Amino acid sequence: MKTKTMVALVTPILLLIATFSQAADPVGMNPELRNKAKRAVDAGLHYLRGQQAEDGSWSNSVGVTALGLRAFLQSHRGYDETDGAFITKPIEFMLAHINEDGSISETNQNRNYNTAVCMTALAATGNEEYEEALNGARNFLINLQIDEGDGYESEHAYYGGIGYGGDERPDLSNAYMALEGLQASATDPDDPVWEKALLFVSRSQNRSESNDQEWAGNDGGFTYMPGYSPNGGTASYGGMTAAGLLSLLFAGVDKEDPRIQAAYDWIRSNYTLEQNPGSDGGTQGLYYYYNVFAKSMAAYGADTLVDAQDNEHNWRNDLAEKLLSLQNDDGSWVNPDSPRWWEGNKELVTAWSVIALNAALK
Amino acid sequence: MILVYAAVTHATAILLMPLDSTFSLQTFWTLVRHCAIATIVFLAAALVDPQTRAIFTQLLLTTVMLFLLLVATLAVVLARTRHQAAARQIVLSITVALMLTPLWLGPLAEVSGNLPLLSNAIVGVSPFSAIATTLDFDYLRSRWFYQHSVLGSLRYEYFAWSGYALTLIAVVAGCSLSAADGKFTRIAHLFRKRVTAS
Repeated sequence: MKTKTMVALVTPILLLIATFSQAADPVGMNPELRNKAKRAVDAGLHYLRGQQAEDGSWSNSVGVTALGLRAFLQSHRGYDETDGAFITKPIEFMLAHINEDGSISETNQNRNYNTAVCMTALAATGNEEYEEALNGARNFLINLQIDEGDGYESEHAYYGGIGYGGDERPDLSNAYMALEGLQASATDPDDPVWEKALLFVSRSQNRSESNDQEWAGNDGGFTYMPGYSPNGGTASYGGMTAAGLLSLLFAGVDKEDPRIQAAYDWIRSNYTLEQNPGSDGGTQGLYYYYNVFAKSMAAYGADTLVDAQDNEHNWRNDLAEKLLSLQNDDGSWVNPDSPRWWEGNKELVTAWSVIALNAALK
Repeated sequence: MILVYAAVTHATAILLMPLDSTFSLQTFWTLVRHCAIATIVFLAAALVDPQTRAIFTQLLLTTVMLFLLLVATLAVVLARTRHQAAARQIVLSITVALMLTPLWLGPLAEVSGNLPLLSNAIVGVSPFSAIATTLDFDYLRSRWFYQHSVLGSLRYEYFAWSGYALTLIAVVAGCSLSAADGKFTRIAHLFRKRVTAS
């Protein structure tokens, strides 16, 4: 009798709590999906732990190592340096690859990407000991930016851009990563680097009102670099439009600014997680898209968006469902359709996917 | 395996051909044609089966490179006989083909899933890469190459400068020995004449 009374009392209370907690999810995410996404993150991190080399690195690459570390540090588990060698060793690996010019890279190629993602990872530790490394890296990225010092005037399409680091030509992908690193390491908002970058970022947008380039269209999306898209002509596509939106926010542009609104409208109207919208075949750079899409939506502060057919989407739920469906049994993710932009590399793609889920879960 | 055998047989046939003054331009082009057909068939078979693609593509690159080297060798032989103009054209064509490997062999690196060995080899055989390594310039990420070759969006490493230096030393040493060989023959001939006269 007593048990029955207890059950009768507790059950409604539990149901009430469950209902309340569902409604109270701060970003409106489905609680069941949230738990599944957390488990997917755990499985991804478990995979990464298993792939970590003796020296703490992943894929023998400073860049992949930094992304792997960031996946751990920003996860719902709240890992930090006190958790052990699997956190401290990647940091040591990165610090061991600091070059005289301040860059953090094991190779002359990809110096911008490597340095930028290292800055983001080192900043995520919250440890002030890495301030010197961050300062050096910041100076390297600022010097890498194309400006008068490289013989370019502000009228040039390359002005304010940042490239791979092994040559001069800039692109929006490199620029966005650099800006993310600069923002994460608390670069002075008044530093001229932001204003110069803003010029380049605006010149990568298909918005003739704010882009002085002749080729500029008006769909509000972004292309890979001024005057070129790998998807033909100067076509806008998902990965770069999310990167463009994020870059504008990093540079301090107000959320209501028409450039941001135009980019957001492009993302809304082309909304899909089945492919990288606008890209050739939709599979190239798919996980890059998931990663930058999640970060851009989280930074923009939209919990839901309305697509071209007037359907409302909770992007967090959609992204979690999509990534859960693509996760391999061993906890990893990989792009089986295209190895471009290193998406054939399981460690990189797993780190990207975990970071995307981390952004969705926040 | 039959295709591999065919490719090897053709390569061996070229190697064992008597490369003296009786060697004609027609024979040369016949051999080149046969070798090219074997290579194309080999390529087609390798691309059909995804399971063995990775292994085959590595073998394929080696085959293609061997093929180019064999043609170059034959061209050098031609130059020493009586078809010097044709030899110059062949060597020039091979040089251009090697320089543009990131363009015409780049898709192979993508299809194979960006295998490090294959991607690095495709980058490495281009003389442009030797120059790029010397200048510390990542030319595959420059605007034109990035737009026209898939390699710029894949993972690759340039060969270390020492690799190019060793190759250069080997080529120079080979040429020197080749030149010295002629001199030794003449010296030996003169020596024999002197001995006979005495």
